[in-house]
Amino acid sequence: MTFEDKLHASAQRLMAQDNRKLHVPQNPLKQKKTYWGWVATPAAAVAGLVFGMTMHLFMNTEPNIQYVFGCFSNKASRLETDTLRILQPVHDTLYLTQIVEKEKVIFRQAKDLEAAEYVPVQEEVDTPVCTSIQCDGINYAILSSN
Amino acid sequence: MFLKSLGSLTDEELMQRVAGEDDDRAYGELYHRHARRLMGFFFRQMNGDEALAADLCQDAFMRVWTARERFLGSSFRTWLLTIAYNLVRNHYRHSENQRQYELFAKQSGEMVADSNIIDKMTGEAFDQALRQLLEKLPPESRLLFSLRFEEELTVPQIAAIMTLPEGTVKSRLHLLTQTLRQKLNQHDDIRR
Repeated sequence: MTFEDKLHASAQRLMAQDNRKLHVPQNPLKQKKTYWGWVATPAAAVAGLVFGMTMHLFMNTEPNIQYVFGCFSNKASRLETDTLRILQPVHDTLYLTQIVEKEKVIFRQAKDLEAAEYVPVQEEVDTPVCTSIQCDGINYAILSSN
Repeated sequence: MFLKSLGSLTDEELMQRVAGEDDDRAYGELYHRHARRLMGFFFRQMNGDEALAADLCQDAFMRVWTARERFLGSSFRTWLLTIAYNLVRNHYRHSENQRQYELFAKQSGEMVADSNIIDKMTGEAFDQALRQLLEKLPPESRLLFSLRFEEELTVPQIAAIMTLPEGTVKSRLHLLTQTLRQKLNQHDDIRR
């Protein structure tokens, strides 16, 4: 190791020791400038909240804070279909004889699920399927005997 | 280039953004990369005056911002060290430190040096002795030492910073190395 190499290695060690303990001042441009994002972001959030509440009032609906934050309203509805099929045994085979009812159900989710009201809104009753010899002239008993 | 994050850009690419688009985020990235090292450079030139080093560091970076349009696209680090070098020289021009260093230079040849002592030294002892010597080094020599051995610049880079011919830099470096060798061999702590 030459003397120059020794000098170089020692200088690097001393420099690292010094640099590590220094308290570096803040970026001089940062001291002068205000970062408007810190002001604009909360202001935009408050403006959005106020606008949302105003729109609710304007539309003559009950203000619902959950709606503003993107949750489902407790007035939300769910559509369900309930269908009852009646199957009739003829000899060994089951035949679909008729669809009794098909109804659309609006299930309103109240605050308490136990208090949920079951409101059948629309009731559709399908025409019964005629499967007798009097209706369509087919003797179903003969068909099923094979 | 647009989609690249600032951290992946080179110093020169960042500086081009600063110069061309007044991009203060790119400037912030440059500051983050170089401020500590630059402050350390000032700290050693100012003999451990941390407050003064911090002021000079901020001053240097303010000059980077105000003179951003004069950046020619070469090495940012060399450009930054040129600014730093001029700040240190201006500082010494207005101070009275120069005289005491002349005394140091005169003492160089007075004692007989033992050329074997350096070879027997441990790394820690060498560091301590060198630190003490560097504190007494004249400002111009201290700057030269920093640029060569701490900042690891080449002779042409140092010549560009100091606005000197390369031959002059080489001869000054040779003289500096010889002086340091001689002084280290005379060092009291080492001779014990």
